[in-house]
Amino acid sequence: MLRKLVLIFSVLLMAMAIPFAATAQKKTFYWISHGSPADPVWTYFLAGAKQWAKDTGNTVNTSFHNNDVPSQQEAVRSAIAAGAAGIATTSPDPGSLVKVVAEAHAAGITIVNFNTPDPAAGFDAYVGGDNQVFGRNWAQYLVDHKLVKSGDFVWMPVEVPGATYGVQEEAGVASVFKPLGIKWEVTDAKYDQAEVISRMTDYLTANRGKIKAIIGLGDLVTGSIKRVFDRVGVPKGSIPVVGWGNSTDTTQEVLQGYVNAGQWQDPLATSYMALSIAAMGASGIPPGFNIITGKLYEKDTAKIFDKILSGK
Amino acid sequence: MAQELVRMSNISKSYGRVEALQDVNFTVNEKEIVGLLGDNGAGKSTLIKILSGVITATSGEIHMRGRKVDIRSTTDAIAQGIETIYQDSALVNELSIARNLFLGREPLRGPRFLNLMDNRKMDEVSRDLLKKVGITKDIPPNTLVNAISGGERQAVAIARALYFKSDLIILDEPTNNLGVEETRGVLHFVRSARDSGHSCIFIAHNIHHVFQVVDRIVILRRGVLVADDIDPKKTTIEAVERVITGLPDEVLA
Amino acid sequence: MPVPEGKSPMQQRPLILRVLTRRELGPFILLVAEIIIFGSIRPQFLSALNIGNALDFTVELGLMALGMTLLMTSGEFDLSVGSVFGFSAVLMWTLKNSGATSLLVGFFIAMAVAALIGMINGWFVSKLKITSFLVTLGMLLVLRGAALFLTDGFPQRTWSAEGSGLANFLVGEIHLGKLHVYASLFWFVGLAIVLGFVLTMTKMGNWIQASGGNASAARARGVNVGRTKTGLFVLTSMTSALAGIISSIRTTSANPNSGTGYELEIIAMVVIGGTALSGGRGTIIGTVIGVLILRLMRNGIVMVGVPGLAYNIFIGAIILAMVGLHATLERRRSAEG
Repeated sequence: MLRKLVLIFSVLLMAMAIPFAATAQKKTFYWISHGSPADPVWTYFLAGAKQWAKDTGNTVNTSFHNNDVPSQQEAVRSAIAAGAAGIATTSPDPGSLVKVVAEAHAAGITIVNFNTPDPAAGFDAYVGGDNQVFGRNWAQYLVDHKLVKSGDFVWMPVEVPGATYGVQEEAGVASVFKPLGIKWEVTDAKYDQAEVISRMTDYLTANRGKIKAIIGLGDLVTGSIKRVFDRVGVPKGSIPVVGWGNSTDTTQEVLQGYVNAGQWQDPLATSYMALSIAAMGASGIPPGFNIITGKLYEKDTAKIFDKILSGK
Repeated sequence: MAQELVRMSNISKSYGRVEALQDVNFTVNEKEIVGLLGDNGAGKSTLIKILSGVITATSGEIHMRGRKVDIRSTTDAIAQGIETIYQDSALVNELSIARNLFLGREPLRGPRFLNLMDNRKMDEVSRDLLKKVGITKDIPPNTLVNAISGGERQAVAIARALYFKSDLIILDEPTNNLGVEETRGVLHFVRSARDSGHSCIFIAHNIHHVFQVVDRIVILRRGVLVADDIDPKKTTIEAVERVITGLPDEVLA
Repeated sequence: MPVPEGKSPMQQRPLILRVLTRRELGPFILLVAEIIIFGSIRPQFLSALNIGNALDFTVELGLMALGMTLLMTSGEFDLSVGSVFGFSAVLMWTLKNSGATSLLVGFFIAMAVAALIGMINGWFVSKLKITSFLVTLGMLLVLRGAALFLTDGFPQRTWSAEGSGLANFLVGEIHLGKLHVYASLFWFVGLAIVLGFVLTMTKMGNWIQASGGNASAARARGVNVGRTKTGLFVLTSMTSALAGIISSIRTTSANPNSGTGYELEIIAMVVIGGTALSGGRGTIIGTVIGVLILRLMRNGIVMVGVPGLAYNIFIGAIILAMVGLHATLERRRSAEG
């Protein structure tokens, strides 16, 4: 009788221990972004991280730092101090995270860079696109499709002039346009939808005659093309448009013919893979490669991305 | 015997352990100008603040014409017919004379929901009042109050008190920032007010001004009433000063 | 004190003198100069298309500036207007998109919430006696956070508003010949007339000016300064909510981020128009002029071809110039006394 009781008891104990053991396997990872929680693109990056957490059962602590470098450095240090299993972080400024990456390595923590590359910092791996490559591709797209030629003028609106993404993209564009003698102008539009429409409408009204093509250096500006064209009375397709396309506004514009091609940043996959690589490193397999994401979609494939973005 | 207008009985006011006023009995009669004197910290300001509703007494009662009244706010005081003229005239610089005169009680015309001010009435009444307080210059009532002199501003404040049928006008250091000519003007207004049937309480540091215009002097010293019935015509400034500062008691007529 | 020249006892001053000494004259001249200069360099500036487009966003900011004018006249600021702008639209569309209410009911709820926000601002300022700068700054953060939390950062869909009665009523497209404008223009003009009337002709207007000019004097005369100011906080929040909702319908986007930073531009518009920063003096006409000065400046600069990234230099220079002008004229006016 007693033996049976002990047996049952041990079985119960083991049954309870297994979930405990499983939770003991659960690790805590840190996902740190320099972006703003209000930026629609970042919400997709975040969604990717949350999906990964759900799929793997690990905990992922996320934080946004609104381009505040010291705040982000502090967040990485806190993660290290908390004994993170692994860290996935963006780089707010090239070179700003050199020290903290070294500290993470000293603590034996895998630290992965995502979104924009920062090779100087010595991360274990990089997952994301390359803004300069994107810029180059957009410019090349326009040239290859014979949408611009030597001597033409291209308008490049951006939300915040001087921000790294815009600057890198412009450098990529320049590498194609300059040798061909194609001129361009970057104008700022702000991060506010109403203000963006207002400024783009003004510029388009004033310069309609000379604009041969438009490259949208950010998601908000490219996503506003339809509204602006309609307000100014520019027929869709009469001015070719290429640029960032991480919003349903842009996928719809591509489907309807306002925008020729949109750049998909693969935000969900970027977060997902960055965390996967961090988890791989945490398990003792050293990462030895980067993952480059990004796809330029046109009308025929836009539906896929429209669906992903609408799903949220 | 003079008719009693205001009676403050057993008024005490303490701020924590500091007793600003101790059991003060203070009366003002009809058609009388009372001068309230005392050194700094004597409690003059405290006493009239209680009467004008700015603060409430810790204990004591106020009666007006024999009836007990409750004064808890400036609005209550105004409702009881007590108007206070402050050193800075309590006028709004950016508004005109007329708008200042009627501030808080602007006459309306037309349908009520429009809330439309009756500018014509305000203008007419203002002109009358300015004449009544002796402003002989022709100052249009739509002149901004920051464009007139200090004495004229005090005159406007007094005119306001006269118009709204206040029984008691309290003047707290009204001549402090004024020149000779303007001071004379203010003192003249105060006398006119009394002659028209209003009583006044006149507080001033300048005893000479007080002597020129009041009917009766009341003196506070360190929160206590020390003299209540001094006739300026029957005493001297020096004698009064001695009572204020508390040198050995002198009997005053 | 000598009686100012030109005045006679029973007559008003001559019209020309009255016009010349008004504080709105400076801004008005600047506006006219702006229009003439831009119009001559680029006639397209004056085209129906351009003016129509420029007015779209202008009247939304204008609605907010009108409410802010009265509040600033009473001596207070509201820094949360931009957040209310964004939050109200998000609230309305969240309610509609989730199926909880119809668009119309959602609209009324959003407006009621805005009124409540105004009452909270007013309560903190008048009862707890905390400076409006701090109170509304706190509210700005609370609302911005609430908008982001409510939406997880995702903009709300607004496509389904098209054709709705409410959408047309508030901001339907109107074609006046070649000029395409939105109904919001008429709401702006209407509100400007009403508030201008209130400020200059009514008892309430007198109380508003007194509350800002000398609150203690006003209180001593029986003016309920606390209630007056709270009412104005409610007005300011509601005009911001209305503007935000109108904007969300017009731009077909209800982004929790919208409205960020508007408060400073709106205060600038009000001050440029002649309303005193310290309170006590306000002008609705001035604000309308100030709104047009700033927005037409932005539009004109683009039309004329100034390098895009130099916009802000010009806008900043104008603000400084106008504020300096007002200050100089103010000093001149009080010296002449």
